[in-house]
Amino acid sequence: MKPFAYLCILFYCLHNFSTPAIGAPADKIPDLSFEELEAMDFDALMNIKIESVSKKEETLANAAAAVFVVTQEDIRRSNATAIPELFRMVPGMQVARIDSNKWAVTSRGSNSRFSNKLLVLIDGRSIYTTYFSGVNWDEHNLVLEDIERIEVIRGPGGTLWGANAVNGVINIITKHSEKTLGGMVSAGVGSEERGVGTFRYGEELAKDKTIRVYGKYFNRDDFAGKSGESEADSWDGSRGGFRMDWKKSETNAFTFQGDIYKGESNERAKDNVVSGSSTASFNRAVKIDGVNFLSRWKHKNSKNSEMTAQFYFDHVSRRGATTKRSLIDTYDIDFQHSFQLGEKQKIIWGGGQRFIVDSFEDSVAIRLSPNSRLNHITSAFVQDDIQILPNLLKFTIGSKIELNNYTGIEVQPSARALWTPDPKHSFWAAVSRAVRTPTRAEDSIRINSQFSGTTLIALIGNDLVKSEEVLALELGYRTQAKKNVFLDVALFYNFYNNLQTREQGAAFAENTPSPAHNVSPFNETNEGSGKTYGVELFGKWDVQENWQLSAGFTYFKLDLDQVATSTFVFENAEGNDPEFQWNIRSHLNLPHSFEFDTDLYFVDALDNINVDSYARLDLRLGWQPTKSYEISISGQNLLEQEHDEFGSESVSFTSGTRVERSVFAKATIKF
Amino acid sequence: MSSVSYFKHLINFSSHLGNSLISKKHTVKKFIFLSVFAIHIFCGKSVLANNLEYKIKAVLALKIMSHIQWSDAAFVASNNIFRIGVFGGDEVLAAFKSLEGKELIGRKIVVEQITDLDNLGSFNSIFISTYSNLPQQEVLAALKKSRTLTFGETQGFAQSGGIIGFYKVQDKIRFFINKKTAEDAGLKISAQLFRVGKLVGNK
Repeated sequence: MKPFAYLCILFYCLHNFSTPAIGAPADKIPDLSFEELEAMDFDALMNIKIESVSKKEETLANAAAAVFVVTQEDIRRSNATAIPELFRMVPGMQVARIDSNKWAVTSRGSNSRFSNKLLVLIDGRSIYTTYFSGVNWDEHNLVLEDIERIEVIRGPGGTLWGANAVNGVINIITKHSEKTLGGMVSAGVGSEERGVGTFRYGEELAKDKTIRVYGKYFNRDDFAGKSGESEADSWDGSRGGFRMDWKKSETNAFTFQGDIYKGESNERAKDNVVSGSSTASFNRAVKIDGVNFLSRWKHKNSKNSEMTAQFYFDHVSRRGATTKRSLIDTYDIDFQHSFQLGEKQKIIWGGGQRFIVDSFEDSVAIRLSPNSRLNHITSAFVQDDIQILPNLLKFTIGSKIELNNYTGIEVQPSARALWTPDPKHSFWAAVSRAVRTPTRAEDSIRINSQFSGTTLIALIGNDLVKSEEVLALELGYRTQAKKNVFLDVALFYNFYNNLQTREQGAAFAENTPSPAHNVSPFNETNEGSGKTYGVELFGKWDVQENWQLSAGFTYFKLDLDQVATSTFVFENAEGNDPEFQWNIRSHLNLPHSFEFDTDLYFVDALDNINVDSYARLDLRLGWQPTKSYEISISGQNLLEQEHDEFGSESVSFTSGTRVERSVFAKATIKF
Repeated sequence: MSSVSYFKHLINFSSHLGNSLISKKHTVKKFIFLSVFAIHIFCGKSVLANNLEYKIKAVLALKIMSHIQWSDAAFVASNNIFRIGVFGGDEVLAAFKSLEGKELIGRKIVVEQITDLDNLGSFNSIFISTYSNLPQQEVLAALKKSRTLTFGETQGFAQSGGIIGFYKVQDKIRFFINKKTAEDAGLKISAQLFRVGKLVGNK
């Protein structure tokens, strides 16, 4: 290595790690001088909200799980223009952009366009699709300014959240409408992000009754194709919605919210088409539209007892993909009650019922039988928080029981312990079981893959397919070592059973589609087992009052017990997840209300899908002279003209593109 | 990838960065890296801590103190200056230092950091933060029978020997007042203060 590089890196490290620490939280707090404060009266002083930076750590310190919270300030200062991009900062999360409108996102392994072991909810509404499993991120391009925080929980969360929270749960929580009063207009333009415009208006309808409405439009350019050509994966869409919060009395509060959206995700399709002997590639536009509505009632029975009832409806339609049309309507009702039992126990219990009505239009390549079906899940859970030694040792035990129409009854228990020897250190340990229930596709799909001579290779669903299971062991340690230094370590060892596999079945002959041919079927089975283990580290250091550094490091390993054979293929193979990842983020407040932010990410190679390791550098220069105005310019992927983040998998149905270097400028006005 | 090969990888990556920094073809990267270094090095300078929470507590303490009737006897031990002591780190001290030089009931305020129990009675007011190097109960015990107004921020402070206890409700600062403890210290609290603070008794 050349001396110049050594010098740069050494100088940077020395500077970063030797500056004396005069600690103060660096999250955005109102910049009030002593004189301004002194001029205020008691009421005004006692009305200033201290958005304490340590709140995140305080909350975290009490959780016996690997939790990371992405705050609104993290979002504002990130370079992200879409939600999955925000997860790059979270240790233990694997994020790869497949093309302009698709991401592979998971935690603790099995990454794929359809990452099936990560459950994602927006304000308590599941956005995990039950067709192929996983999340279609192009349906959820939310207004980032409306997000209060995102809680990312790595590891199983089945006890509280139910099936499919095998490797993690993400809760996206939007702001209470009381926090978005007044107007906001924001406009952005860039080389890839061609145009983004957002309008939001919030008003107090009556005392303790507030509402906001919003609208957003975005238009993204194509990325580069794998072989250098410009690819047809542009993305555009618009969405609108509202949220109303009404605190009717001290004991009753209601929330009503809804969104409506439509968009067009273009892609280079790599469909499995039954014509000739090769797989054709072509451009196509997938048209998406959806609408959802949620209502929630919170009732406080007493100081120590609270009940919540929630109902939501969600409709998503996708047209023009390999499945010609898919319609999924979800109706969900949930109830939960938490109360204090004696001095040392807090019980939370609840139940829910979900109905999912789906309807699919077949293509030559994909067929579902039956085309339309009503699926249902009934669930109940109970969890007990026991303060064995108050403020020192806490146990949390609980279980969820679900009844679903694919596999019947599923039990997902967990036991967690939290030991806090002093307020600055906490240790936790957990053992849990979680399951991923089969999807509609695994149950009832037929994918005509391609001809090999006169034999058609096809994937065939299996209604006897079982749930994938995990038994997870976790250990963690957190310390607020100093007022300005926070460290978080998590270790995990997961044992998986019934992993999804495809096994070759006996060939048979069929006449349609013509001409008559033989079919070599691969059937959906659960013959796999394996283990994953890893370490996730996160550290945050408020170097100085105006400078905050944070860093994350992840080591991850997946060992499947058997390797693929000619008759046996794992759905999620080894080598789709990076073994090593690290990132360093810096938030620097400059004089005159300027902000300079640097994000550097390193992601190891994905051997199975031919993706090289890469480093990406994102920079942002922002200027926020008052709370009402903000201008920023940012550059993403500055180190390379373009790079691959994810390869093409057999199930993604697209060839994927290369992420390009880009610049983006944005202005926001609040009034 | 083994850890050895990972470190090789890191080195390769660093080398790649280094090479690209000095390559003419990569002047953009070079510019970006040098700018990032320069901005951090020249702008990451140290300034005094100004934690809003402690600034608010310091200003509230000042306002509370101005609503208290002090006896002249209280200033004999303090040499006729208004001595405020702070148990806590630099950050807390910095916020209270902003009060220094101001006048309260005709006496100049002096703010000092305290780390031991010696001569505590010579302070007119003491703020015991959560970063205190000494246990709060020891400090309060040492202040018994003194004429010192005590401020604290731990749970139950005003109910267990302290006079003014700061607490938070939804991230906003509030305070408890223990009238009995104040009276025992010879401090008379104005009625206006009871309208903003919450009255509590001893446990």
